[in-house]
Amino acid sequence: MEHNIVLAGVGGQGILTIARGLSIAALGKGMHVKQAEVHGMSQRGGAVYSHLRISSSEIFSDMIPMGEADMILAIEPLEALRYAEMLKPNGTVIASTNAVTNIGNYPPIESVLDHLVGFPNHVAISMLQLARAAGSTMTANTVAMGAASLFLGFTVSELEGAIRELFAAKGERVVDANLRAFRFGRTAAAAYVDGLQRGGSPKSVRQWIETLSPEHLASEDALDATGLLTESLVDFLDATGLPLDATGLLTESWGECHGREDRLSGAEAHAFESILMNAYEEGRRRLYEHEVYSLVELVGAISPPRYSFVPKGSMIPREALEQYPGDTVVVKLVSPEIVHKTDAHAVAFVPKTIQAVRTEIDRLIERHTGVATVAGALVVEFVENKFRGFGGELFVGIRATREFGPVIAAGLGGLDTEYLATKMRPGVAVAKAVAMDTDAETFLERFMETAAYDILAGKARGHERRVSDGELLRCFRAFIAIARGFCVDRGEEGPDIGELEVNPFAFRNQRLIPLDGRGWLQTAAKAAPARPKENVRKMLEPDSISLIGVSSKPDSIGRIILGNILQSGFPKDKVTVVKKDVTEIDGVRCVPDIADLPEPVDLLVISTASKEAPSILSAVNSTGKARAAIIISGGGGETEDSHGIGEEIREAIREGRQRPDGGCVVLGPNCMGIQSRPGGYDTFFIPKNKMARQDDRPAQPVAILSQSGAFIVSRLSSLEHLRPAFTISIGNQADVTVSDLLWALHDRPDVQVIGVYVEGFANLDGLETLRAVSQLAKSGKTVVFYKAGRTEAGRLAAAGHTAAVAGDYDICQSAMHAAGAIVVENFREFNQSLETATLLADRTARGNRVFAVTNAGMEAVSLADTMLADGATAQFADLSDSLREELRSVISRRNLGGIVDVRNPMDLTPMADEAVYDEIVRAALKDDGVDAVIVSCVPLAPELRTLESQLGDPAAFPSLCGGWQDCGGKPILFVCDAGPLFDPLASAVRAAGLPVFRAADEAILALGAWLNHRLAIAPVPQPAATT
Amino acid sequence: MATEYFLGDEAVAWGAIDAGIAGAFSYPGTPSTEIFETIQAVAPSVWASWSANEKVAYEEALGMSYAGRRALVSMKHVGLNVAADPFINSALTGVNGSLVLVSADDPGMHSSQNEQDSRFYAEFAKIPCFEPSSQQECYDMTREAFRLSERVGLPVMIRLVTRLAHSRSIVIRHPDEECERRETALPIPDPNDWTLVPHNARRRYRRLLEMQPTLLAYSNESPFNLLTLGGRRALICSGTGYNYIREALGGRPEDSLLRVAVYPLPTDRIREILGHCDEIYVIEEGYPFIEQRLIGLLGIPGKSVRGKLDGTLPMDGELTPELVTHALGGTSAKHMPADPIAVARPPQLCKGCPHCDTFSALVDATAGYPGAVLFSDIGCYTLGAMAPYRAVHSCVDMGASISMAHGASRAGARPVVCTIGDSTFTHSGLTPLIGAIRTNADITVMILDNATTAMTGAQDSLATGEELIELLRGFGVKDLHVFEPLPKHHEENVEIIRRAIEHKGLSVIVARRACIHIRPHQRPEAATIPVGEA
Repeated sequence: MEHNIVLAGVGGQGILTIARGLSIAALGKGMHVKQAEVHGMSQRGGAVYSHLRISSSEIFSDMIPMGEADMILAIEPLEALRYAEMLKPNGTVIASTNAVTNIGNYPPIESVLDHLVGFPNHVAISMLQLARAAGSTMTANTVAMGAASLFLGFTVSELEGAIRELFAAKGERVVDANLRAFRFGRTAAAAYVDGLQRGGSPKSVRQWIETLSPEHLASEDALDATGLLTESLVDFLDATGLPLDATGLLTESWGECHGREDRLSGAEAHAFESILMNAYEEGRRRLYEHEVYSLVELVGAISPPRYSFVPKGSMIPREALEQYPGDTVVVKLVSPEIVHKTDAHAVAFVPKTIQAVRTEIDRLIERHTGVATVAGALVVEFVENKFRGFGGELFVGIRATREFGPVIAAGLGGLDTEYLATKMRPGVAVAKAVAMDTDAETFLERFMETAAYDILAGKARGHERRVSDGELLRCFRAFIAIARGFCVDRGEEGPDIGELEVNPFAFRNQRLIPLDGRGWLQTAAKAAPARPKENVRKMLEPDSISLIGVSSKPDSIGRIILGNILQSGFPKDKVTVVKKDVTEIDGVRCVPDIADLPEPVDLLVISTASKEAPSILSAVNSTGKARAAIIISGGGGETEDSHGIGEEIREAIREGRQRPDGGCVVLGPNCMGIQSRPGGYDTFFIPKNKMARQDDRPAQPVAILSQSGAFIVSRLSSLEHLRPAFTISIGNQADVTVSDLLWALHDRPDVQVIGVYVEGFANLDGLETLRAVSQLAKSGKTVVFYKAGRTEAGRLAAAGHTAAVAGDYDICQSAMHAAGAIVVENFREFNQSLETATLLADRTARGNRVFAVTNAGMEAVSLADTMLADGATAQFADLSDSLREELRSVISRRNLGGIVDVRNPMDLTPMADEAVYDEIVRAALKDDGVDAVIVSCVPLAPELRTLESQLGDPAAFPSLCGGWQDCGGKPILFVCDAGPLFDPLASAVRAAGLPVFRAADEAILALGAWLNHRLAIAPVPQPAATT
Repeated sequence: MATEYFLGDEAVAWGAIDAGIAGAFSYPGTPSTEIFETIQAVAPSVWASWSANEKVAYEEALGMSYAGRRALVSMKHVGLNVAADPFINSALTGVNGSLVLVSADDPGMHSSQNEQDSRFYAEFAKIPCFEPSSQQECYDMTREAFRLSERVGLPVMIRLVTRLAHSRSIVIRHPDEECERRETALPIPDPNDWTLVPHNARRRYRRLLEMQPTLLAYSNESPFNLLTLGGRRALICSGTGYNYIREALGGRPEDSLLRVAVYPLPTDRIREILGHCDEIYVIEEGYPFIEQRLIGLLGIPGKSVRGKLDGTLPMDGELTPELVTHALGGTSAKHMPADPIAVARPPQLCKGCPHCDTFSALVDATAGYPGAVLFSDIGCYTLGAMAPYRAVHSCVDMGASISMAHGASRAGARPVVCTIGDSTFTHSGLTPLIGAIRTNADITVMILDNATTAMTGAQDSLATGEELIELLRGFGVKDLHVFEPLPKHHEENVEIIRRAIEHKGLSVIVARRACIHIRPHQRPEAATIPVGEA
C-alpha cells in the first residue's frame, strides 16, 4: 500500500488534523509515514498545504515528487486546483464545493467547480453542509477524511480509532460529531462516485446528495449498490421527474429551481428533525432554550455560547465546567412552563467553581419543584454584553401563520421591540416578510430600512456598528431555511414548528451570540386542494345558468335574483330553475331535480336555506350537472349555530374534489354572488330601483372583489360612475378563494384594475394571493387592496412574544405592497385609488413630477404641504425655462400680470377663467419636465362656468377636459373643493374621463400612490434629451 | 524505547530533553519555534521562558553552561545574526555544561527575509555542526551533539532546514540511556578561561585552533558521514539532498555516495570518494557550501563537479525531488498540467485585526504628506505593505524601523513614521529608541501593542499594556500617546497621529488592542485615551 496525498486548504481549516488522523491510522498498521507541513506567515488566511506520504516501504523524501500524488484532498475548491501539477494522470481529487473567497480576484465559483469536475477522478461535495449535519462546521476536515477513506487502504474501524484518539482530549461530544462527520463524508463520496457512474451530471449528483438523510449517510449499507443509496436515488428521481433511462439517469435539466443556500440538505433536515421529535415524544409543545440553540446552530446561523444541559438528577462534570471561558457562568432552569426566566427568578450568575454551580443548580431545582415541571438546568457561558441599554440586542424569529405560511421578523431585541412596535410606523421598528416569498438578501434589504438596523449598523448618532451585514445575512438565511422547511404543514413527517425565536442576540466581534431562545411545536395550516381553474373562469362568464331556491313569492331572494339575471339580458333559453311541481316560472323552464337538468350547467345559483346546500352539492357531485355554484344563503358557518352546516358544506366540496374532473367550484356561502357585465348576469339581490341604472353604458375595465356584501353594495353606490366589469362577493370562501378569483381575472383583457376588500384569507391563501397580485402587477394591472382587522396586530403585540409582533395585518400590508398592490388604509382611500386607477388605466406614468394649477392660494399651500408630508411619493416638477416663458406669456396675454406668479403650484387667483386654465394646462402637458397635472378649482369663483346650468357651455371645464385627455396621455386629476351644489360639475368631469377629488391634498396623495405603483410595476424609460 | 511521530523540531526537542538539559532558550522564529514550544509543553522541569531576543537567549544558555548544566538554544537562521557576538566568542570561552545551538534555515524563504546558510557560521566560529536528513537523525544527532559538546568543551551547532523542521515522521526515542544524560552540575570553571580580555582571549583562541584536528578526526570517523563506494559517479550530499537522491534513484544508488552530516567536512572520506570517481555531483540545500570547498578557487583537475555553481541546480530556493531527479539525468513522472485559474492566495491580515485599523489611520493621517517615509519591521504587521494600505516601506531586520527612521530624519526626510510590534520592540527596538530619545530625533514611533508575538503563533510578549507605557515613560519619552485601533476611533486616531507628526521631536504612539487570536485573560486593560504628555 502506498499513498501520496496532497492536503490543501486555507489557513485555519484544519488540514493538519486530517494529516494527523491518517498518520495515526497508518502508524497503527506499522506503516512508514512522512508528513510535510507549513507553518508561519502563510497561515494567516493564505493557502496552506501538507504532503502526506504513507507506504509499506521506506519513504525518503518528505515532499511528494511532482506527478506522484495519488490524491489531492482539499477543503476548498480553488485550493484543490492549485496543486494540479502534483497529481498522477489518473489521480483522484476530492474537494469541498464551499469556496473561501477572501481574495479580491477569486474566480467565479462556477468556473472553479467546472475545472474541478474536469478531473477524470474526482469527488466534489459540500463538506461544510455535511459537517453541519454531523453537528458542527468544525468537522469539515473530518468529512474530508471520510471522503478520502473510500480511496485509501484503511478499514473504517482503523480510521474511526484514529479519530477517537485524535479528539479524545476534547470530550465525548466532539468525538461523536467527528465520527458522524467521517461517516457522512465517506458515504457522500461513495454516493458521488456512484451517481457519476450512473451517468448523472456532477451538479445533479450533488443535488441528490443534499437530499440524503443521516440514516443514509451514516449507514455502511449505503455503500452497497443495492442498498439505501439506490433507494434514495430512485426517490430523488421520482421527486424531480428525471428520466430513469440508462444513458441519462440524472440530467442537467433538474436545474436551479431552488436557491441552494436557503434550504437545508437532507442530512441537516434530519438532524433537525430528531430534536423536534424528541420534544414531541416527550409530550412537550414548547422547545427548551438549548434545543433552540441546537436547531439554529445546526443550520449554521449562529455560534451559541458554550452550554450544557444538565438533566434533573445528574450533575455537570468538573472537566466540562473547566472548559467554559471566564470566571462566571449562567445557570438557568429548564422547564416547559417557564418562558420568562428572569421574571420567574430562574436565572443565576454563578462563579465558575464546581461547588458554586452545583449548589445553584440544586437551589434552582428545589425552588421550582412542585411549582413547575422541572426538566433540569442549563449551564451557559457568561457572555458580557458590551452594548447595554437601548439597541443592545437583536431578535430574530419565525412564526407559522395560517394565511401566509411562515413569516420572519427581526428587530431590536428584549423589551425595546414591544415598545417600538406599538409606537412606530409599520416597517420602522421591525422588519417582517413572508418567508416563502423572500430570500435572505431581500429580507436584509427590508431590515436595512428599519430604525433597528440604523442602530445596529452604527448609523445612529452615538452608536457604533455591532454586527456585520454578512452575519445578519447568515442568520436570516438560516431562519428562512427553517421557516420554509419546518414552519409548514409536513404531514406525517413530524411536528411542525409554530414559532422559533432567538431573543435576544447579543453582539461580540460583529457576531451574533444568542442569549435566550424559545419555540413551540404545532400543526401548521394546510391549504385545501386546488380548485379547477377552468370552472372558476366559467363562473365569471357562464353560458348557462340554473337556479335553485326560487320561491313563488315575488320578493323572495331567489326570485329577485332570477329577475335580475333576466333583466341583465342573459338569454332566457339558457336559464333553468330547479323546482318541483312547476314547469315554468317568470317564463323560465323548470326541472324538478338537479339530476333532471338536460345537460351540465356552467353556473348553479343556490338560494335555498343553507341547511339544504349540503344535499344539493351532493346531488351535483353525483350527477356532475354543474361546473360552478354560488351559495347565496347565510348561515353557512359564520355564526356559532351554523357551524355544523358550514362543515357539511365543506365536506360536500371535498367529496366533489375527488371527482376526476375536479368537481364543482363553489362561491360562498354567505355571499351576494357576482355581477358580471361581460357575462350578462347579476345575482345581487338588490332591488334595481335602489341602484343607479348604468347598464346602457359600456363597462369600465375594473373589478371589485369583496368579502363583505355590504361593502360591495356601498362601493357600487358611491362609485356608481365606475360601472365595474365584475363585482364579486366572495363570502365565507368555503371553496373558491380570493386568489382563485384574482387568477381568473388576471387572464381577462377586459379587467385592468381590481379593488380587493379582505377580512381574512383561507388557509395559506394569503400567500397565493400575494403571488397572484405580483403576477397581476407584472402584467401591468393594478390591484387596490384593503385588509380589514388590523386590531389583531395590537392584540398580538401586547401578548409579549416578539415574533408575534409580526401580526398578520402588518405582514399583509407590507407583503401586498411589496408584491405591487396599492395598499389603502380606509374606505375613502379605497374609493379614490380605485377611481384614479380605473380612469387613469390608459394613462402613462413617466415619472413623478407633478404640475398643479389652482385658483385659490389655500389650495396651493395645501398641495405644497401635502407634497412634503411623510409618506408622499410625488414631487413638484421644476419648471423648465421654455415652460416658464410660455406660462409667463399666457399670464400677460390674459392681463393677469402682476397678480399671478409663474411657479408650481400655480395660483391663478379667482380672476382667471377656464380659458386661462386651458392654456396653462395645455402648456404643462406639452412640457417634457411634467409627468402629471392636477387641475384644481374653487368653483365658486364668479369667472367660472361651474353651475349645472352652465356645464353644457363648450368653454366650461367638462368640454375642455376631453381636449386635455388627448394631449400626450399624461395623467390629469381634477379637484373641485365645494359642496353638493357642484356635484353635477364633478360628475360631468368624471364623465369626461378625469378622476375627481373633493379636496386638493387627497388628490396629491392618491396621485403619488398611483404614480409610484405604476413606476414600480412598469417603469417607463425617460425619453432621451433632445438637443 | 518509544516510537513517536515527530516534527523535526519536536525530535530535536526530545533529543535535548533526553540528554538532560536544565534549560531551553529561544526567541520565536519560523521554522524553529516548535523546538522551544515542545520543551515548554512537555518538560516542566526544564527552565523554558521566551527570551527578549536571540542574543539574550544565547547568553542565557551560555550562563547555564558556565554553571555546569546542559542547555539548548534554538533560533531561526537570521536570529543567529543577532546572537552572532556571543556565539563566536563562546567558541573561545568554550563551554562547561554542554551547549547546543539549533539554527533553522529557511531556504525558499517561506517566512524569512533571506536564505543564509548557517553552516558558514559554524565554520566561522570553528565549531562542529550536525546536519540531519531525517527526523530520527534530528533526535539522534541532538543527543550526540550534547555528548560531543561535553567531550570537546565547545558549543555545537545543529543545522535544520524548513522542510525537515516542519515534517513529521517516525522517531524511535531511547531516553533510557542514562549514561548519556547529565543531570548534575559540573564544577564552576576557571574564570580566566571565560574572561576574554586579550591575554586570555589569545590563549583561548589558540586552544580553539588546537582543537581543530580533534574535530576533523571526529568528523572523519562519524558514522553519520556515510560513504558507499560504487560506480564512477560520485554523489556528495547533505541534509534533504540525501533524501531526494534516494527518492530519485529508488534507494538503490548505483553510484558512489557520500552523505555529509557532521562538519567540519570529513576530508578523508571526501578524498576517498574523489579517488574513486571522475564525475562528482554535489547536492546540498542552501548555499553551495560543500561544493565551493571542494573545488576551491581553481577546481579539481581531471574531475567535473556539478552542483549549484555550474547551474546543474539553482542557486536559490528549496531543493525539490524534481530538481534533484533532473540534475541526476532523470525525468519526473507524467502529471496533470497546472491550472492557471488557481490565482495566488497570499497571507493577509485577519478580519478584525487591530493592525488594519492602525494602518487605516496611518494612511489617512499621512495622506497630506507626499514625502512621508513609513519604516516598519518584522511581524504580522509587515502585511501592511500590501493593498489597500501600502503603509510599510521597509522590513529589514528586527528593530530596524526605529534606527532607520532616525537615520532618515537626520538626512532631512519628513515626516518619518515607523511601525513596530510590541514583541519586536522588546527584541531590538529598545536600544535604537534610547538613542532617538537622547537626541530628540524628529520621528514618530508607533508601537503596535497587540499583547503577543502573533506571527509565530501567539507567544508571550515581554512588555505589553501598562508595562510598556511605564517602560516608555521611564526611558524619558515626553510626547507619548495611546490609542485603541478601532473603526469607531478612526477620526481621533488620525488626529493623534497627525499631532505626533507635527510635534517637533520624538513622539511615541502606542496603538493598543489585543490580537484577535489570544484569549481574553491574556489581553491588556482597555486603553485610556490619550495618556497624554507625561
